[in-house]
Amino acid sequence: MKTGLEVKELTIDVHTPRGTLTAVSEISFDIAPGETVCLVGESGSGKTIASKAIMRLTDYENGRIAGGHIRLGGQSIESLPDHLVRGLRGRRIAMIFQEPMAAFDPVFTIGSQIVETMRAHRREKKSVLQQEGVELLRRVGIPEPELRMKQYPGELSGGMLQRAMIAMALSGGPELLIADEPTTALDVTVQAQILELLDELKESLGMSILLITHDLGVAAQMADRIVVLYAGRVAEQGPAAEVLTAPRHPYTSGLLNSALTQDIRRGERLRAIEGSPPGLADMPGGCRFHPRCAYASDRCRESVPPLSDQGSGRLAACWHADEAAAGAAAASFAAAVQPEVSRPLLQAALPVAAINGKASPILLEAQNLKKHYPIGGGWGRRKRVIHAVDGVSLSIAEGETFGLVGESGSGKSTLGRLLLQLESQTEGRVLYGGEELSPQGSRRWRETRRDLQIIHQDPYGTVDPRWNIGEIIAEPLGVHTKLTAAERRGRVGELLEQVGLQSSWQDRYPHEFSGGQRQRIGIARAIAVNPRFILADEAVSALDVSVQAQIVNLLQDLQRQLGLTSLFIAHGLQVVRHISNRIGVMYLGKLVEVAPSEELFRRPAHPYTRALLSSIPGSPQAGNETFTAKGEIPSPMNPPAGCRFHTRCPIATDLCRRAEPAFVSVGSGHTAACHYPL
Amino acid sequence: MLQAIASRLASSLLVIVGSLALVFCIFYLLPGDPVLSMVDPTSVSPEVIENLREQLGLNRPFHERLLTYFGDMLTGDFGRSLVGSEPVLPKILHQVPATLLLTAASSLIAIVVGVALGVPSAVRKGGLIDFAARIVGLFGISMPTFWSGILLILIFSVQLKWLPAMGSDGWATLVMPALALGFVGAGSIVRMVRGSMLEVLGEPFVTTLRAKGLRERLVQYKHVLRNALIPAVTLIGMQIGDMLAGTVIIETVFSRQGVGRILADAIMAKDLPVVQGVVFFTAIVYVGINLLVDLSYAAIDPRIRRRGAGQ
Amino acid sequence: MKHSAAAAKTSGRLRRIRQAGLDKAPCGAQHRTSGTKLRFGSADVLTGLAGIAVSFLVLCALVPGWIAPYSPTEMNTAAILQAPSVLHPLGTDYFGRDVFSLIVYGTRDSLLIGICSVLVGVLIGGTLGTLAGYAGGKLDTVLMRLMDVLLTVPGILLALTIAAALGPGLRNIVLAIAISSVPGYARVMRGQILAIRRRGYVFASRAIGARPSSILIRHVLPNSAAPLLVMATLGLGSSILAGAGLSFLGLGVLKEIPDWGALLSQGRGYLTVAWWICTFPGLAITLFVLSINLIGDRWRDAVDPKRKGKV
Repeated sequence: MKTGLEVKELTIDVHTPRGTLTAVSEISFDIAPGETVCLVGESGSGKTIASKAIMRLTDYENGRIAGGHIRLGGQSIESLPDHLVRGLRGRRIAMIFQEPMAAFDPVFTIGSQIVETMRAHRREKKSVLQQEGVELLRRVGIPEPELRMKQYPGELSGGMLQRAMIAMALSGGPELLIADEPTTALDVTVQAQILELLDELKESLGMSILLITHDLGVAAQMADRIVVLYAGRVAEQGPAAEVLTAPRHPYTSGLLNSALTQDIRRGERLRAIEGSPPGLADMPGGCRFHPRCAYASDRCRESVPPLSDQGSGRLAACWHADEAAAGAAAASFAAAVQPEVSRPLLQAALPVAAINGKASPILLEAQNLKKHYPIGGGWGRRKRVIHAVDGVSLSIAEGETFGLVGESGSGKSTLGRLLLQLESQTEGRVLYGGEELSPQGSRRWRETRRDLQIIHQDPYGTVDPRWNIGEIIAEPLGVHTKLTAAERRGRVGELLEQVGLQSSWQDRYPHEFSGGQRQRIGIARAIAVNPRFILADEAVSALDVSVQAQIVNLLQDLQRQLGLTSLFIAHGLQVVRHISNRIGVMYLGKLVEVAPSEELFRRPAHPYTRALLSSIPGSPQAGNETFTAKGEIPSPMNPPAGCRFHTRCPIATDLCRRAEPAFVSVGSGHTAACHYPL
Repeated sequence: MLQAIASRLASSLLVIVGSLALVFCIFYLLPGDPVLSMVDPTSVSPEVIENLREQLGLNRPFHERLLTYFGDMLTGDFGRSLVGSEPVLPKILHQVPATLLLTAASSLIAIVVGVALGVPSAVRKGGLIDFAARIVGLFGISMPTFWSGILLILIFSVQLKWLPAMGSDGWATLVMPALALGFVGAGSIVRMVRGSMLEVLGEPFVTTLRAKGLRERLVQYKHVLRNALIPAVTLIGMQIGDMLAGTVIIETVFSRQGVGRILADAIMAKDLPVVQGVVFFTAIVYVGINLLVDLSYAAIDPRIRRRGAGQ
Repeated sequence: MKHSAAAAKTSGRLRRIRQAGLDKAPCGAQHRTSGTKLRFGSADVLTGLAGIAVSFLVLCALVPGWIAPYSPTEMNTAAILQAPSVLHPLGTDYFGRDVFSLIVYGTRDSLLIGICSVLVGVLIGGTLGTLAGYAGGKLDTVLMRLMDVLLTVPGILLALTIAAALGPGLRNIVLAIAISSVPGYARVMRGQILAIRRRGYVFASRAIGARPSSILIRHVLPNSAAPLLVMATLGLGSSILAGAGLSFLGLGVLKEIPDWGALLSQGRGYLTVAWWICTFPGLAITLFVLSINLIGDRWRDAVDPKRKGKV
């Protein structure tokens, strides 16, 4: 008899105001006891709906299982009566979610929510269950578990809440744990801790894990087997190592190329997949990937490829699997040998001096910048201050791309805004071309806006929904130039083509465009008045992996063509590495290390940088305790004294607790603020 | 917690002072001579008008008038009625219990009907109870109280002769006024509770609760309802205030004794000191209700409790 | 409080994730209880009917002579207190006037009071809210405290007090209702302005170097207006109710042709002998307000995607 989870030809319909749509079509996969299977996919792939269907949670969300089977330990779930399904939930199958903050009921204590879960499945005295809850919290590595039981969700950090969520999931002793993007909302150092915890629990408790993720790195680190979903169908599945190294579906190899894995060279163009994933309402016929596929033939357009056996436990749904596999192998071979061809091109375009960071003139400079936000105050309350940026000095040379990385609360976005004087600093100076930037709102300040532009992080919120594309892109032209309406239209058309859209789309409105296209619109707006400097604030973080690669390519092309200087802010380390000449690492309002891009990755000098690097899922050091950071980032309201990282540093000493380290040079153009640079 | 209550009380006091000033301003600063609206200048001699001005203190400068006004209020002197020249305060206080009783009864009806219909209507969206809830919601906010009151009289007094059409003695006289007044509040509360429940049902944590294997009843009545009540409580407070104000009309319709009736009569008789007194009384009750609302917030939402404790 | 900063940051990130990952999945965002097939009253049919009702009443207000079979002042001593019949579809009153014609002619004042007071209220409230939201700081504090004070007196009571102070008359009634509705509009507008000002596109426009005045006019105001307009639509209903209430209490437009509230008030005396005098004007008010509310609800759902399909 077969045990574990078996999903066979599962089809899920979703009722929407526009009619019934099929979110997931005939997907099949198994999970053996003790196995971790990753469901990998982008937006609209149906991965979340499929995972919810396993517990029949789709019943509550307008979903209906329209076909196929779900069996757990041989028992069919799809046709089970409601009260029996409820008996499975939380007991044999448990689930944890993407947003730990939103996944707890805010008005009940953590303890009562855990105890409530246990009481749903067995009768036992409350005090006994309470004690069990404490043990569970301890088990998942939560300090002071007795206290946490009495706290409300709002009083715990994201990482702690996700641990508590895991504890709650474990309370029924499940055979299968479904984890839906459990670390996406968390900082990268915390993500590493949670993934490690999941792995350890799986080993010791012998449960299976179904991990849903968009991040191939996470899949690489966690999965025994991988199931790649595209537009509601399985594209490919098989053992993790093989799927990731020798993909047999063009989508998988495209995804792998788009996801910046460590061995792609800086500055090189990424081999992105064109277009963006289709929405539920406009699924292409035939193979759903064909509009974006290089191998697409008439056959692909006409008929759906079946999921066919590719040998050694692998399945792929592609008419051209053999060609695709050969192509992927050739491409990775080419990538290993050929990059030198494109290299000289790149170097010619960039001023050589900029790469060394020496002779080229400084365009933008920050001197001891501080930004403190007062909060609270009022009657009978103590006034507090958030130290968002706390004494940062850096300079960006003409033609250079400076990358800024850091976790939430590091102050990187605030620093970006200060540099452009979109916020006023509490202390310090910003020099632009050697001249101090005028205060906000003055005429001179407005004039400098022409030179200093931004690409924003949220492609949805940063365009006015009531304006059409032409008006949006022309806004800076209206402010800084005296072009006539016709000239403006002409310029907007040029810009649209420059960012890979069609010049005839000027009269369309933002809601007609996908996230990636909107980001292109944002880029067109930013370069409309030929700025000298561009701040890209998490410009690709909100996009699907395959789309991210296109935008990174576009940004690099434009930078070369227009000779832009830029500051690239991101929490995704690989993206920053790929695009930047130099990188600065921020922690709790302080810059802790600055180094040329490759140097930083090869030889991190600050323990925090090293922790960040080893937290990248799939990195060789992942899970190694001597390299990772303990705990979570402290509140910027009362940052630790001395070195701010000492509370989480594996090598901190008394000195670190007392004295703040100064920047020391540890190599050419490489400085770090640490008493004991590595 | 104590500190939080103390600061709430302090701000409530400010609000009462503010509303007193407001009433003062309405009567003494708005265009229109209060004296001329009290008497007909064509039939009364100029001396009488001048006397009235003197009596009301209208000839003195603004700040002086304001100070006297506050001083009088503080000493409990609300002046005398222009009609019967009896002191305002005892006249009002005498009628307070009847009006509070009516307000409380209406509020009870409004809250019970509102919550009892609003919650299941969100849970069984599109069903019969939902239909009933939408009817109550829409008609509640669309029907004038005086009309629903009159309809009740037509049906239960004129036709069926079950209930007395007027008066304020005994419980039977309370039924129809409370129903007419409570229906309005029920309409608003039903709409609010329903919308708020639906909003909370869409929150991610509801999926967690279901994924834990909790019974649907527990999900909806323990978790969703409690979260949904947080915004609803504010509205309930405001509705109670509105029902208190609505007694002006309802007490007139049913010829009941009460503060509202006093106000209606005072308005018709242009008896300004009495109007002031009633508004003052209403403001105090209103502030009291708001205080209760804040306290019930703390009971429902632990986040507010913790913040109140200064964490 | 300890993690609030981190929480705010995280929630921003969550939003990004949601937008990136889930916006295409219709599941999750909306809730609908499965298996409920019963659906009463399709929203569109109802809104259509409401539209027809409102159009008809607007027509009544504009050209009553085309619709009413009799003159509202025509007293037919031969037909006093007649029950509804073919000649007088809604009966006649004590003076022998045709009730249907009275209602048709009374539409104008009721509608005028509603529209004018909403216009004045929205204009003043919207301006104050915009000022407070945009200027911030001291001006914001002062304006909002002022609004809080206005809100301590329930709306009807405030209108009543103002109307009493000003005396009867169309202009005064409009003013009274408008002033009592100002704080509501001001608060909503201020909230909108504050929310829209935090939007990414406003920041983007600022980063481009656009002047604050142009950002206000081209981005903030157009995007803030929609909820205020929806509120004004629903406010039209309550203003008509308030107007009817005031004239029911005798503070209305004292004219030869009574408006709906006054009509009801006059009919009260004949409840036992002529139910139709009170019943039909009330029905007219209710239908009118109900229709406006139906349209307002529908519009709100269209404007606010979060509430789509919920009311």
